[in-house]
Amino acid sequence: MKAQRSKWSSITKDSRTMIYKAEPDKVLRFVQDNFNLLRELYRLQLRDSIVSQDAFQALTTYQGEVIKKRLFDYKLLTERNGDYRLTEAVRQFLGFLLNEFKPLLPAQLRRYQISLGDLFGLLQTTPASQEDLLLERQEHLYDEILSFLDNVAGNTSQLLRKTQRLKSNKRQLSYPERVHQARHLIEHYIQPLNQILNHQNENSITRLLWRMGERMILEKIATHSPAIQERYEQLDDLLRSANEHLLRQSRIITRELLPLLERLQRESEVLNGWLFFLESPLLRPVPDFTKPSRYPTFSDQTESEVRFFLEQFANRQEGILISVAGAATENSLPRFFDSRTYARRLQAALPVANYFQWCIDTLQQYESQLDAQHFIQLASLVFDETANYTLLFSESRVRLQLAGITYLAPVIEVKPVQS
Amino acid sequence: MNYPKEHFQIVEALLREGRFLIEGEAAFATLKENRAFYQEFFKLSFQLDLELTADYALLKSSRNNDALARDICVFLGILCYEIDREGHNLMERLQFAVFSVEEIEQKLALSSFFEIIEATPGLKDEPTRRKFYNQMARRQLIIKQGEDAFRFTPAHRYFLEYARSFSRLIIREEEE
Repeated sequence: MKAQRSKWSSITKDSRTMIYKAEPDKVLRFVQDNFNLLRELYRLQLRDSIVSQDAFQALTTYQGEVIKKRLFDYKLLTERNGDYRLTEAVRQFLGFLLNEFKPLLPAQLRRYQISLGDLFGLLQTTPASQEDLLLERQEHLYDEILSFLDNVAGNTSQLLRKTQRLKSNKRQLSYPERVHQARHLIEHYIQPLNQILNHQNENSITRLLWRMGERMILEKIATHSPAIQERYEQLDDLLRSANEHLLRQSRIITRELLPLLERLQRESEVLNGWLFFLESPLLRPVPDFTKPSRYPTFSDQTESEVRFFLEQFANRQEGILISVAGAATENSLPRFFDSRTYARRLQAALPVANYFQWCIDTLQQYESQLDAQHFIQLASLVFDETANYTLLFSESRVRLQLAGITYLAPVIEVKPVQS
Repeated sequence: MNYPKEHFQIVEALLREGRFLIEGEAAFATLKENRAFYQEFFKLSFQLDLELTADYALLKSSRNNDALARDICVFLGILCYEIDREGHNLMERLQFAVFSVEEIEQKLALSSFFEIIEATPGLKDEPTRRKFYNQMARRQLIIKQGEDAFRFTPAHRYFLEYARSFSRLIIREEEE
């Protein structure tokens, strides 16, 4: 291994002169012919920041010596402290071709705030008389804006790709690992990037570009020499398209990336909530859940009609008038409602002067707490079998208290049918 | 006046059976189309509030001590905890997975919350839990897949949202 290392080192030194001997198109053809190798080298470096000796050996085991040599001859690869790196220009070119980058840390993007701000300030303070200087500074500003836009677009597309991969989970990561990675992406890349692009934030780069745009419009209509004028127009065009471009990137972030965050947050909220509930599951309130109605809603019309009939007399403001406290002790009648028993009692009690009051009184003999259902069932008796009873409705009202509702029901006299 | 076509099915399901209506049922579509009418209808006729979301509907009566609802909360709470502990995405599992009764029984038996299961009357042992699964199916919270498996309907989100509301409560308490 050591011998190998020194061999490559010597080649690296030699290559400094040899690059001048190779024609550029020849280098490009070499890149084309050996693109698979270069792509793997690029990916290795993307992952580890360097291409280690061992990784390089493993990758080039089946490559001819001449190919390895040319990598260094053409200065595509350089040695640094015993490991290798793709030359920066080559790395950028391959990244561009493959559309694979490391997303920049937002701190790396934020430096554009300073550089763009400085260049813009310089441009504004350059006297119109120094035309050459003005032209030069316009050009630098133009390049810097372009470089910023490229980086933002690269970053968004990388983040998007990473997020999509995380969603589809191609790498079969365990769920906690995915959550961890998603949190990392969101905290360190997505949210800060959103801050940089957020046009509502006074200090965002987007706002700086807007301010530049406003200035360019003024400069465009001021009197300058044709060359300067033309540059200002170019800058104005660039800034206009830049703002659209950034808005689009910002939209991608809000539409694609932030929902991921929300989903994670939602999930941890659900879990926290359950854990809180399970601490004392019998004491916490539970969600509102309607019981199925025991009486048929539609098929037996009578009961619901009685209910409706009574509901029209409901008077919620009234206080409790019928006290159920101290009601008669329960006797031997079964707790469940047996309509035949009650029908017999009614027959025996006829004539009844105030039917609803009779119902209450009768039920109270068996139930210390009046059951609204039972009351309705009992009250239905006379309406169910109208042939057996004569009903006389009067104008006066009786107050009934049932399940927290006070009814002002009409007094109904029930008599046996006159035969 | 004219009642919508599925009026009977809507009232039957929500009121009589006390179950969820879910996305995909004809009655649910009708309910959504006539949202304002049914909100008023249930309020004025039965003093019940209609909760209607994008994929489920139910009636609410401000009873917050229902035994079945408590059983469901205990069951879902523990199930969510176990799914998360196993390293799965609980929202995804509840939405898409088919659970076999055997798998659930195993999860519950091994759960550190097993004591709570035993102390909850509606969940205390396997035969009781079988009844509980049938109850959930009748309320359309789950759909049975054969005798021994089921999947959750979108209605399970009603309970997850409830758990989230606790979470917000905890945060508020912490802030105070």
